Order: sequence, then structure tokens, then C-alpha cells
Amino acid sequence: MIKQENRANNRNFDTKDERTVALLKKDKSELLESNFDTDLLKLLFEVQYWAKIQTFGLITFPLPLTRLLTKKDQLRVLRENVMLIVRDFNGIMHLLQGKEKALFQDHLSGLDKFIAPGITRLNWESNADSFVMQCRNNCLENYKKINDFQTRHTKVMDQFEIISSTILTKIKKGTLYELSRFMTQQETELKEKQETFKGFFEVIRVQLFTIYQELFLTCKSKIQSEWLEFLKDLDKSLQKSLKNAVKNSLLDF
Amino acid sequence: MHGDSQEIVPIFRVYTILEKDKTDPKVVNQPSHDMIKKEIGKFIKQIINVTSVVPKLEGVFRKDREEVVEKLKEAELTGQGSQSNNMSEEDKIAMINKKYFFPPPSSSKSEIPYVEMVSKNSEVNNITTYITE
Repeated sequence: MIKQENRANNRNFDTKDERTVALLKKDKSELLESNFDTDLLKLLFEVQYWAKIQTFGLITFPLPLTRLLTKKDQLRVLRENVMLIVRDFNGIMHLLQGKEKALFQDHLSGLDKFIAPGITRLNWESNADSFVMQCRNNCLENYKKINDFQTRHTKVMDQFEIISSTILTKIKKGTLYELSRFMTQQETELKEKQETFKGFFEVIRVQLFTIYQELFLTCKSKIQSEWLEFLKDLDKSLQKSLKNAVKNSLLDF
Repeated sequence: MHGDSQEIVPIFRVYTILEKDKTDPKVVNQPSHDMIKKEIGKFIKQIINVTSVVPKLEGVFRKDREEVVEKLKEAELTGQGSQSNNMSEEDKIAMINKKYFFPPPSSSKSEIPYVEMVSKNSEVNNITTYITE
């Protein structure tokens, strides 16, 4: 008990933990962390039990600790709100895979600008309600954009997959064909498959251009280069799918 | 024809005709081996040609983008939503061009149609040779 009281006395809560410590910090992998002092958090949990003993008059709390206790709920709410920002932000970072991070650099920079006051200016005594709201709205907005991008990208990849597994001919196993009849039948089939491929490509074209127009059209030149790289990767995938369709059709022959 | 299995499965009906009127009758296959080979070659080309309806993704994207960007540029030049009314026309154009910059095609390779790439693909060519052998 004496040790606890000394610990409480030795801490200067007013200067160190509340007014000067920023709400947030970033770790090495650019993920966000709550910057709430873990020792202080332990103390806040512990002190509520000491407070019960204090009611029997057995101990007296030092003044800084009493002041801290009055702010306990306010700190808890802020801590929880900060954790919501951390969860939203890190959720976005985990959502972005590989090259997507480079593609969304402009969006992430925008998000960083919203988060910045929490890392540099706001502390645990600040009124951070509007900051929390702005950050969370911006995170949600970006989350929706990334989600939309990934959904459309998946649709494009699905089309590639369908193209890849398409058999372009229609040869019935065990059927003996007259050569001319075979050629006529297959020509009709190939024409149908051409139309199907046109349809697949249209879906790909629309999905890709919608993503670009909604998310990247007005982004900086670096992002435009990243988009072009992204497009080139898709170009290779489409070429591979078409090759597979031809290859599988020939193997089916 | 063989497909991807080792088992040979016949596909075409071939009639064998013995020429009557000759003292030394010849065996004639209808359609002939050459004819079948020629038609199969044509058929394989038609299969590959299906991919010709798919244009290059980058080329189509550039075209679509150009269309949209031209409209946006025009709107900004004529002042709709413009924030640069006190700029000279040249500066305005330069600023708008910078805003809507997009990297040019890096190589002519990116413009080669898919059908050409597929027809030159070694896997496709190996299977073609295997079928027509």
C-alpha cells in the first residue's frame, strides 16, 4: 500500500501523461497504435480497488491521483475512441495487398493528413471528439473505396478465369464426323464463342474503367504510372487466359 | 486425333473407294489425308482467331480515358468548375495537361494484339504440330 502511494506520488500525471503525450503513434510497419501510457492504464485499473479501501479511511490518496481518478471515465472514452481509429486505420492497411498499397498512395496520404493531429498535436487532455469523428469518417470512406476496388478487381479476375477455362470448340466424344459437316458446325461454334469473348471483354473494360474513373483519374502522375503497371499485369493475365482457352481447346480436339 | 490423352479416338469418317474401271485399281480415301490435314490446319487457325475479337486492354483503356479526359479538359478550359480564372490561356492548358497526365506507351510490344501473341506461343505451336503430324 505504501509502495502504491509512493508510486502515485512520484508520477507527475499533469505534465507527462495527459498533456504532452500524443494520442497515436505509428509502428515500424506503418500501423497505428494507441499511445496511452500502459503503466498509467495499469494504475487506473489498480487504483479503483484502492479507492474502495480509501472509503474506510485506511489510506489517503495523493492529490494528483485524486485528480486522475476524476478524469478516469473521460480517459476511458477517449481511449476507446482512439482504439476505434486504430482499428479502422489498421483494417485499411491490412486490406491492401502488394501493389495495391502503391496504387492507393494518394488516398493513404489523405488519410494520414487526417490522422496527423493525433500523432503530433492532440493529447489525452484534448477534446478530440471532432478529430475522432473526422478520422473515422475518412477511414470509412477509404475502406469503401478499397472494397469497391477489390470487388471490381475480383470481377475482372473472374472473367479471366472463365475465359481461361472456356473450350472454344464443341466436339462430341465418340462421334464420327463428315469433314465438311464438322467444319461447318465448328465454325458456328467458334463464332458464338467470339461473341461470348466480346461480352467478357466488355465486362472487364467497364469494371476497370469504372474503378479508374472513380478512384484514380485525378490522382498524381506517380499513381498514373502505378495504374499503368497494374493494367500491364492485367494485360498479361488476359493474354494468359486467352492462350489457355486456345490450348485447352486444341487439347480437347 | 488424339487430344490430351494417349488413346487415339477417330473423329472423321473416311470412305475408302476402290476405282472400278481400271485394271490396276487404286485405293482412294475420301476425304484424302491431305484434305483432312489442310482442313485441320484451317480449323486450328480459326480457333486461334477467336482471340482476335479481344482488343488490347491498355489500348482500349487509353481510348476510353482520352474520351473522358478530353471532356473534362474542355469543361475546365471553358471555366466550369475552374479555379484559375486569372491565368493565361497557355498556363491554363499547361496546368490542365499536367493535372491529367498519363504515361505514354512504354514499348510497341504492348500494342501487339493478343491473337498474334497466342499464335506465336510455343505451347500452342507444340500442340498444333502434335495434332497435324
